[in-house]
Amino acid sequence: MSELGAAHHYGTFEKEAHATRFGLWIFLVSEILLFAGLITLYSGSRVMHPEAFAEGIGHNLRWVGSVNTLVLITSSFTVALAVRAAGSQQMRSTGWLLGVTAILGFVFLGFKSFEYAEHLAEGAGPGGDTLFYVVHDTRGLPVFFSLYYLTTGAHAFHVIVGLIVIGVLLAKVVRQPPNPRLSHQVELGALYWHLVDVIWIFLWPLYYLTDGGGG
Amino acid sequence: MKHHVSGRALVLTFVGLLLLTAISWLTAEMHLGRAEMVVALGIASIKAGLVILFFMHLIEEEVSTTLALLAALFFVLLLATLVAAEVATRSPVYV
Repeated sequence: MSELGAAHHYGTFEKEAHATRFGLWIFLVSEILLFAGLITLYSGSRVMHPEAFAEGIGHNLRWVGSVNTLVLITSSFTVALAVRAAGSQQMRSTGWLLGVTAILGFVFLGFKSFEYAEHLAEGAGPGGDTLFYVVHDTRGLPVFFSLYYLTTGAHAFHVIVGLIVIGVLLAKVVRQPPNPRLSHQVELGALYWHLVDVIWIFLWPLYYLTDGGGG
Repeated sequence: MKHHVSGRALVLTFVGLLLLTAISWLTAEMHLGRAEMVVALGIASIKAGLVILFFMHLIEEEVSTTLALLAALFFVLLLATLVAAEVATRSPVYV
């Protein structure tokens, strides 16, 4: 297996792939802990200001959040198919599937930008120093919206990083002949993309669905 | 690369995720009151489990990988619930 250019302390490429995959999982776990901080802020603040959180969620555009959920789930499916195609060295299919995944990522960011623009146009920005918060003077509402921008913004940043990763992989798939190292890199990039989807799976109910039954 | 997770399993996972998303949306429209958060996060956890097990192939990874993930999830739960419990049980004087 030396033709695969495995770093020699690994011996074989399989061992190297195993080690890098585990390393990536450790990185993903640290990403979960980053969002854990934001979700902890959410749970503490929500207990403190239940009315404000219900009102804020009622104010968010549920249809945009829901469409974006479907978009990210579909992109997770296409990137999983890309890994499968790469595993059988079908690089043409891999390229197409990575391309579709990237388009879905851009669609997600498009909808998110639209929603941010809608909020900012009516003054529901972070910080709470606009006329919007004079009209909607529920105690804690600025806390809700500040957390909303911080958390969904951190997530959107991860989508952008994921798009860069997918873009680099796509360029490699187009340029390089099929090889196990490249297939493995597609697998690692896909793991990161899936994590971005998993985080959104939790942000969707927390920021769009649980409006306390009010709406 | 191994192929323990079949193409069929990937398709079924995707269909399952779409169904659970629809159920989550419907239950949110039903205004369940206090049960709302439990139901929504319960469905989200099942969806995340599907993605992690099949799309991310955790089902064919070694125990060490699962252990790292479970440790992180345990700390998330511990942090979020203990902070919420602390805030919820504060004396009104300190709120």
